[in-house]
Amino acid sequence: MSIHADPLETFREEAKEQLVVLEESLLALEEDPADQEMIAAAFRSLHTIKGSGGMFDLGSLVHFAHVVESVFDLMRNGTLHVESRIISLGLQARDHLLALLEHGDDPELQSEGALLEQAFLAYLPEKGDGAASPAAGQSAEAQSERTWRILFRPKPILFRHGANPLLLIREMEELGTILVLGFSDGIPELSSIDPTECYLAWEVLLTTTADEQAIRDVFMFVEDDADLEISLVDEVADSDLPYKRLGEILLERGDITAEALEQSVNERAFLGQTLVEKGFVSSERVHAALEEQRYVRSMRESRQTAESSNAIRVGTDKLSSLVNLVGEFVSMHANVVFTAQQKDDRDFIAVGEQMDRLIRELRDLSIEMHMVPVSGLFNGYRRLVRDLASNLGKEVRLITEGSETELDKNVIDLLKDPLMHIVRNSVDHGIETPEIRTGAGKSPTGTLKLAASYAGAHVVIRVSDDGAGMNVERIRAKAIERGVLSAESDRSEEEILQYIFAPGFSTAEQTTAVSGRGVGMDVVQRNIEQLGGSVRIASRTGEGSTVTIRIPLTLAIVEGLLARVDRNWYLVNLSYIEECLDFDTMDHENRRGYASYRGGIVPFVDMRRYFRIKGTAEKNGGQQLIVVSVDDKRVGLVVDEIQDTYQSVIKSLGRIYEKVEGISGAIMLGNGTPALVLDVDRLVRLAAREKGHE
Amino acid sequence: MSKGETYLLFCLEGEPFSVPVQRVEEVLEYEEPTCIPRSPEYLLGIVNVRGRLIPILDLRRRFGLPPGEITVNSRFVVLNLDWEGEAVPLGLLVDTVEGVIDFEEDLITAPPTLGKNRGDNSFLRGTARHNDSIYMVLEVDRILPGDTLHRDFATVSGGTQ
Amino acid sequence: MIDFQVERKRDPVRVRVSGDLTFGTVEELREKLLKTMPRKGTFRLVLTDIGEFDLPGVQLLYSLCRSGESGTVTIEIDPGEAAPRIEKMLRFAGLAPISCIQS
Repeated sequence: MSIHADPLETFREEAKEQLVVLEESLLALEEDPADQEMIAAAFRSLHTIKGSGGMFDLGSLVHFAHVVESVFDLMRNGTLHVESRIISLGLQARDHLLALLEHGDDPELQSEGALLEQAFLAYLPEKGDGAASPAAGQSAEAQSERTWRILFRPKPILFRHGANPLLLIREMEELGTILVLGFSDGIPELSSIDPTECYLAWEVLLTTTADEQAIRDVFMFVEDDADLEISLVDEVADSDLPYKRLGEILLERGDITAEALEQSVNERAFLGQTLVEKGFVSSERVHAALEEQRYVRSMRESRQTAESSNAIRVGTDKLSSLVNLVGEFVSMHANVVFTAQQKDDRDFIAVGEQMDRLIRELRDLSIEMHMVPVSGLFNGYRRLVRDLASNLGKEVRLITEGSETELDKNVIDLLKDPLMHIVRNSVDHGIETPEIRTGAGKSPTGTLKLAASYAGAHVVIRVSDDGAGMNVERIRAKAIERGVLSAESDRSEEEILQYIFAPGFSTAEQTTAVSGRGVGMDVVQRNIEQLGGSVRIASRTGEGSTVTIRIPLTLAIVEGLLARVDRNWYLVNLSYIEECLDFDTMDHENRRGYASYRGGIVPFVDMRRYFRIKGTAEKNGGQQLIVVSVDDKRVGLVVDEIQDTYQSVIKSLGRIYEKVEGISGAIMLGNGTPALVLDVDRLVRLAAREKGHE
Repeated sequence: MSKGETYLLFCLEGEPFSVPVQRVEEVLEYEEPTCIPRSPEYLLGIVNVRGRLIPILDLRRRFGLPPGEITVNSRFVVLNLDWEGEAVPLGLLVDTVEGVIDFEEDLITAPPTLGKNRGDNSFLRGTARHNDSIYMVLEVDRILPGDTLHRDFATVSGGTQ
Repeated sequence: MIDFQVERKRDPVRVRVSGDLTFGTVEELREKLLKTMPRKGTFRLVLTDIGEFDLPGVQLLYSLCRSGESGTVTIEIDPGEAAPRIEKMLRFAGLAPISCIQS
């Protein structure tokens, strides 16, 4: 499902908004040339246009915006004074950009653009080619600015490989506003230094519209020669959150342990001073943390003034109702189209088709408005992890990855509790005490990682720890004891691990003071499945566990293919489908359930058999094979017939049917009868498991 | 005389049953439910009632009676169950709906020790006598206990375990 | 190439460095500094004539300073005319001013 109906059109709209901002700030600058805020606002709007224009084939627009932006950059850092000529040139540039947006690149505009460009280039120091090429690594989407913390710890070998961190800093500067904090506290004295090794380390706070990948790309060539940690420290959506406290920041950065903080926080002196005096951390690190605090504050303030003018705050409940209403509307529209087709009323059908386009746009827009990054969700666990760890006498570092990944706010809200439970479990049962860890040759501090990434219409969230891992034998024993697994079963370890999601499987030791609240992993699984998602666990003894959650980007509406099995219609989510083939004409082996596919074979599930339907499909054929894939597993589903794609709100089957297999919900068809949504995830896993046993 | 309560009367296999009207959301005409595969036999599927999905229970099969025929009198009695702490709707397929009646609370007597369902009659609250007829009063929340349902689902999907 | 000139051998010892203070010269410079550095008293390094310098070069200056922190020698770095250039680089790299630099 595409969120942007027409990305180019979206870009044009956004760019025009930016041009309004540009014009306003230029006019304000005419009144007060010393207004730094306005210079920054003008710069940002040009920067945004350039950045988001980069993903379309709008070379001349991007190029022109870049040249103008470079001049504004000089004014922003004080190298160039604001003067009336620049303002009038700026206004001309604004008009030119608007013309480029509206008319594209026609020859008349080109000569006009060239003249203007010359005028701007005259303000730039002669730097050869570099100045006029668009900065690399701009994020594809015109996202709001966020502040990232980049911890860059080079390995000693870095200098010998010819890398120069100064160049990396310069590249980051290109992406946005930066605060660079270098650490020299690792440099030994002359008698013990190898001067060709690198002892320096950096932390950079970068406020940018670029995404994590763009930042990572800066470090592409030094990847193996340094440790790199990128995390989101602040963003607009978070601006209601209280500012982080010094101790919190130091802890987050891994400069101090929770224990050290605990020991120092109770003394009634300045925390930073106490920590330094106790020798827990160098004064340079405290200074850096204070700088970060100050930086986040100033960025947030300037952003708020900049954005309050062209954004409206809407309560999330209103937004949720909007999304729900649009969902119902989409279903209702399907009903209208269905009725029109039944009555075979051409005019009516035509109107329905026109509405279809509008409704799709409305749908995408409302869903998009309802998407928020998972960073808030992730960061919400910091306190929990910290408190848990200190209660248990453990040292745990929480790191996050891909926290800019966006999800429907409703999904995020519903994910909060299950994810909390998993995080809690990891700290409680996964990560060992420092003594045990040291004994096992691990670092005394355990690491808990929360990572999010996109996978088609889904988001994958991974919670991994480097703790003790699960005890497969104990789970196997328990499963046999509970009669859900036979003693002879040759299930793989991976399959056996999944039994921790079975009801009542919380093992005895799971009831510690911290996590034993009577909620088992079965509840976690149920909550996630109710979201149309799935959860899996992987583990290695001694190395840790990873819980992988897969959830749809949005709950509101799915688009799927309608397939018939016997008398029922089923919806197969489009995001899983690879292709549909005529099953009758394919080579297939019914007994073992394989069909030849793309030069190889694919296992298939005969849906009639799976659903225990007596009798065979009609003799006139028409059976179809829907090839679906989840992760790297590919399976075919044999159905009696396929029809159009259909989009609808998914409804839960409710508690009575919560244990049913292979079906994850229902939708309403145009004529009002329910159709069922196939649980593709489960079917694929099932097929893969069965075939794995042969 | 103690305060009475109003009951909805319906028939199965010619026998009169009743449930408190308070727990009845509505009575619907029969329509063919969308059947959900891999479910216990007594669950017939779901119907769409103004955008809401209602699961349908075949009360005859649940009570171990022979399956009946669908007639013009067949109805769904939609109840509001307190099911493992959650309000859950459930439609009962019944042969006919007869109307409502007031029973005095003290006229309801404990269920007979031998029910039709081989002794398991926890779904019966008792019987009520009214104008020389005897009505079975159902214990609404016991019609479909969670453990029974889970066990039956496990049996149905047992083939893939 | 680095030109290492001991301008004064007795306390305060003074050394003047010219040429590049870069990855290619830091090893050589370290050797020479270690050889020249007295056990006590003041050691002064004059940088006014240096040419190019890079992060390994700057790192060595920090290291030199650190040597003075624990021992009995007082280290002084006199950046001379190179001061603005060094300062600019330190600021760009977000590094704290070198503590024994005399300004």
